[in-house]
Parts: sequence; C-alpha cells; structure tokens
Amino acid sequence: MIDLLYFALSGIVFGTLAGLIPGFGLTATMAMVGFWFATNNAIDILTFYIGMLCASQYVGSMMAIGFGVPGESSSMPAVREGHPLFKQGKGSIAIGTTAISSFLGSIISVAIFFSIIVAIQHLLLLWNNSVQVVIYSIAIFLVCTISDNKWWQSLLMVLLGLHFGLTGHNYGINWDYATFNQPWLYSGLPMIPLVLGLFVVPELWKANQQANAKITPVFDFAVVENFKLCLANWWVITYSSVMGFLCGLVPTLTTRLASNLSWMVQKQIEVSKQRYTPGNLNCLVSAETSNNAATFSVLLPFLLLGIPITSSEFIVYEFMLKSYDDFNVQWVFDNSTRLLSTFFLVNVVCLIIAWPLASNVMKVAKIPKKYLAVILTLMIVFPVVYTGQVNGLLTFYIGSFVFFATLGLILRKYDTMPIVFAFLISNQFVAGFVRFYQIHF
Amino acid sequence: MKNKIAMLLGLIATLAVSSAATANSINYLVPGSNTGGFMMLSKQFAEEMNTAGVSVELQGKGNCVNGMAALKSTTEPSIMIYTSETPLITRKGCEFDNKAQLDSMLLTTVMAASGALCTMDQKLTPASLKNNNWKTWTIAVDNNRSGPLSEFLTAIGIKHKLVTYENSGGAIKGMLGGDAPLSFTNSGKSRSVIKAGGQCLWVANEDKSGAGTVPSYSDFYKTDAIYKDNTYIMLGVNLDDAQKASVIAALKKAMSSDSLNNYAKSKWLTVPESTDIKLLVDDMAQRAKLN
Repeated sequence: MIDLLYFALSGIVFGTLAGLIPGFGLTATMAMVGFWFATNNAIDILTFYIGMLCASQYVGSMMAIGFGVPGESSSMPAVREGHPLFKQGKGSIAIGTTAISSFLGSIISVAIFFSIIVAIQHLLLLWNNSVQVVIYSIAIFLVCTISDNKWWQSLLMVLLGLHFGLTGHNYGINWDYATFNQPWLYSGLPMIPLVLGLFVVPELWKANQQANAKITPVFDFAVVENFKLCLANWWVITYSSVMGFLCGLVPTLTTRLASNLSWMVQKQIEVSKQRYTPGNLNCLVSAETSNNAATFSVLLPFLLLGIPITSSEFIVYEFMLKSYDDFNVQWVFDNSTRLLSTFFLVNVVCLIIAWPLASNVMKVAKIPKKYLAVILTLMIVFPVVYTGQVNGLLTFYIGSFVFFATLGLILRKYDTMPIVFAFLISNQFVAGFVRFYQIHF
Repeated sequence: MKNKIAMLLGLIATLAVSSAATANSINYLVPGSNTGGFMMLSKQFAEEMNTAGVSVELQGKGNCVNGMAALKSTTEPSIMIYTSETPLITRKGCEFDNKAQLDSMLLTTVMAASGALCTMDQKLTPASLKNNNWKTWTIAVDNNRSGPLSEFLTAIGIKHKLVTYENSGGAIKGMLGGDAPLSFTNSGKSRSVIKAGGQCLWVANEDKSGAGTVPSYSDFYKTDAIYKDNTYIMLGVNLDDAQKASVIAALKKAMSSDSLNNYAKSKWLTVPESTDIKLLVDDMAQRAKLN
C-alpha cells in the first residue's frame, strides 16, 4: 500500500509539472527522473508512470482551458473550445465538467478493457500498417472538412504541414526532402518552435484581441451543475471513451489522435445541428473524455505484448525489462489488483487536485495583463530555448520559432490546426503509404 | 517600457539557465534517442567509466545528424558512441568529412551486435524458408539493415521482399501487427518477439556463434555469405593524449568487467576480443568513399 502511494503520488507530482510546462512532456520527464523509481519490481515504475501520465492529462487540460496554452499536444482541442469558455466567464463549467468527464472516460476505458481482456489480444494484432494508414487518412479528411477554414484552404494547409513535417532526412523511408544540403535541416524542422509559433502564438493573439471585455472570473465548485452537465452528455462521454480507447492503441499518436479525432467528430455533429460556436462544451467534453480514455489503452500493447508504442513508454519499458517480468495477459491478471487500485487512486487524486488547482488557474484572469504577458512569453520562450540548447541547435530553434510565429500571425484569421496536425503525423502518414506499397505490390 | 525590460530580463535568465553546463568531465554524446540501443549501451559504459575514475556526462542528441554535428562543432573534450555500419556512415549529416577526420576521431571498438530473424509463426523453420522456392517471404526490417539484409538473403537463396521501418522497434511492431510474417532486426531487440510468444529462427552474427538460445544461420544453410556485424565504436575529440589513454583504458576495463559482459549476454551483444583500428578505418573509409 505504501509502495503504491509513494510511486503513484510521485508520478502525479511529476506529471503535474509535465502538464504545466509546455514542451516539457512525458518523454523528457521520464528520461530525467524515471531512474529514481525503477526497481526490480516492474509494477513500481509502471505505477509511477500511470500517475505521471494521468496527471499530465488532467493538468494539461486545465492549462489549455485557463491559459490557452496546450501543456500536452493532446490538449489542443481544449485550447480551441475550453479557453473561449474561460474567457466567457464559464471557466468553472469548463474545468469542472472536463475533470469529471475525464475521470469517467478513464473508468469506462478500464471497464472496456477488463470486459474484453481475452479478445483484446487479437484486437491488438489488427493495428497493422493498413489500419493505421486508413486512420491517418480519415483524420486528414476530417481536418480538411470540419476546420473553421474552407475545405480547400484546409487542404492547402495540410499540404503545407506535410511539407514542414517531411523536411529533413526521413529515416523510415530513407528519403531526403527539402534539406538543400544544409546540415541543420537534416534532422527536420523542430516540433516545439513550430507548434508554439504556428498554433499557440496566433491562438493567444486571437484570445488577446477578444479580451477587451472585462473578464469576470467567477468560479465556484458547481458540483451539482457539473454532474448534471455530464449526465446530460452521457452519450458523448460513452462514445468518446470508446473512441479514445481505440485511438490509444494507435502507435505514437495515441492521446493526440484520441482528443483531436473525438473533437472533430463531435464538432461535425454540432455543426450539423447548427449549434456550434467556438467554446462548445460538448466538443470539449468529447475531446477530454477521449483523451483520458486513451491514457489507459495506450498502456495495453506493452503490458500485453511487451511492445511500447510511445516514446515515453520506451523508457518505461527499458526500466521494466530489468525486472525480468514477462508482460502478457497472465501478468496483467497477476497484477490486476495493483493496476486497478493505481489507476483508480490516481484518477481520484487527479480529480480532487483539478478543482483546487482550477481555482488557482482562475486567478490567472485577475493577474494584470502586463505580468501575464511576461509569464506567457517565458512559457513560450523557455521550451524553445531549452530544447534548442539541449539539441545544440539554439539559433535554428529560435530562428524557426520566429519564422513560424510570423507565419502564424499572418495566418491568424485562419484555423492553423490543419498545418500542425499534418506536421505531427506527416512521417507516419507518408511512411505508412510507402509501407503499404511495399507490402501489397 | 518596464514590461519590455522585464521580458528581456526573463529571456536572459532563461538563456543563462539553459546554458548551464557541468564542468570537469568529458561529454559523452549519444547520437540516438533516450530509449534506443545507443543510449542503453552508453548508460552501461558511462557507469563503468565513472567507476574506473573517468568522469563522463551523458548527453542524448536524438539522432545521428545531431550527434555528429555536435561532435564536429564542440570545443570541449567529448566522446561519442557510433557504429561502423555502411548505411549510417554514408547517411547525409551522419558521415565523416574525410578519412583523416575518421582516423583522428576513432578511439576503439567497444561492442558488436548482429541481426536476428524472428517470427510469431511457431511452425516456420529455417529449412522451410529456403525449401519453399515458390514463395517470396515478406520481412519487416529497420531501414539501416535493409540493404545488407537483401544482399545476404539473396546470397543464401531465400526469396524475399522487405518492408522497411525507422528502427528495430518499428519493425518488430510491424511484424506483430501482421504487416509481415518475419522480422529481421537488432538481435537484442528481437528478444521481445520471444517474450511475446514468438520465436527467433536464426542469428546472423559474423562469428556464426548464434546468440542466447538461438542458433546461427550457418547451422542451417551451407553458404559462404556473411552478414557483417554492426560494430559499435567510440569516437573522441578535443582529448589530450592522457585523456585519450585514460578513456581507452577505462573502456577496455569496462569491456572485461563481469557486469558489462552480463549485460552484453542479456542483450545478445558480443564483446570484440581485438580489432585492428587501422584496418577498420581503412575499411570504413573505403565503404564511405572517404579520401
């Protein structure tokens, strides 16, 4: 019990940090502190990881809603829907309902898993290259058709995003693209400057332009109201949990795909019912429920098959290998009590944390704009400088950020999400098609 | 104005914090991800070197492009783990500028890894791969190994087509997902196929000794074809003669230690008994077409 508390709570602390600082994601955190929690018992580091994974998602959502800054790449829909609600003075509804639906999404995901635990071994084997190509294609199609832009504008942005994403040497298909023989371009355009410059900067600009009216940060623990809203959205929560569970199994994209795909689908539903405006609670609930449902299923491939599917899992896996445990259904059954206790405890603690922390986030609105500007500037600049310095390409990272921030501001009247989304999935998307050709022709 | 000054000060503080570096140790650059084979092996070496009194500080560089760029540009004493395999040393951004640079950087060989052919199909045997001449076997392979593997399989007489992935992990996942019935990747990583309930048919190591409980390809096929091992090497820059000698001595000591040998055994790696560095430089320079 003490072990569980120690590792789970430590994970929550570091996950909270990972969620608070954009660009300081799970992989970096795990790589830096994971060894402190690696023991001969594989379940210990896994308990730490589950705590970190869940806390980063809860806190990342709060940051996205409160600051308009996505702590995790999966929180981008929360920026789009949650931050406008916050600006409208509906922060308590946005954060409270999101926290509850996230909790429910996690629990539903666990329930789905244990109800189909035997069949899921076979389901996992369905996630092959062809299925992934189909999913990427659907995601690209949805990005083009339901963003705020006209479809052809989004398509152009997708092509631009693919161009940015493929720039460099593509290891998967051994192909150089747009490097112009410049060594600093061989490793491709850096993700953090691009995402911060092209997505976060214009979003903050838009938010700033809309903030002329005085914000009234009314926050209360509207427990009953929040539960009522969740109850009214039971169908959204249920189907988003299922979608999130399945998306969590897609290598690399996992929670990022879960939140974005669910958001897109729900937005399509809202648009078709002519009730969509930015700051749509149903879209927010859908994205965040799906996101949290995926945080459980993302663990399954390497618990059942010993195959990690995200970069942070690779680190956990290496630590877990030292334990000499065999990861399979039997291992999951043997450790099911601890796994379930961990997951439930972590989600309860995160849910509890979300509200007191949420009230602190709400106080952000009372911070004078000049101080907020400094904080946000540092929050954007630090990850660019930090990652640039770590990679020994500081000038390139700063230059890239300036370029993409400028481009983002030029495109501020448009929805830049298609560029960012295409950039993020570009390598897997194109490599998937190349492999499809290799397999079938 | 005050806001601008505050922002500027914050920016300077950020730069200062980010630039902080540990002094009095040799930088140990790792040209791969924090979870890749380079880093896992480097952690073992760093531990052994620190025990031997040579203080090193690990720095992950993400990939070979960043790693090589950092090694070429640093002015501090630095070492970097690398491999002698052709696809890596000929890749844009990962290559040496010329033979003299390679010669001056190469300190010693440290470890060797081979490739393993694995499958989830328990009925497949090494003989069935070759005997079914009518069949083309689809094999998931990491991009670095695809060229040499294709030549090797052709020499053995196994009809094949390759599905390429970014790294060993990707190839194994692809095979498990059903993209291909077989995978050929880093033998150490291939252990996960066995863990997942599959089997490894053979290992293609140069000394034909097999790995772990998995036999060598030479036990099944009569062939002179050799799949060259992936030899890990240690590069160094800005080291004075004393530092160079102490680094090499620490590495040699590490390679003879029980802990590293046990690690190598568990990862299906081999510790080279001796390698003529000059011959290796000549061989690498020839393959990379360096003058």
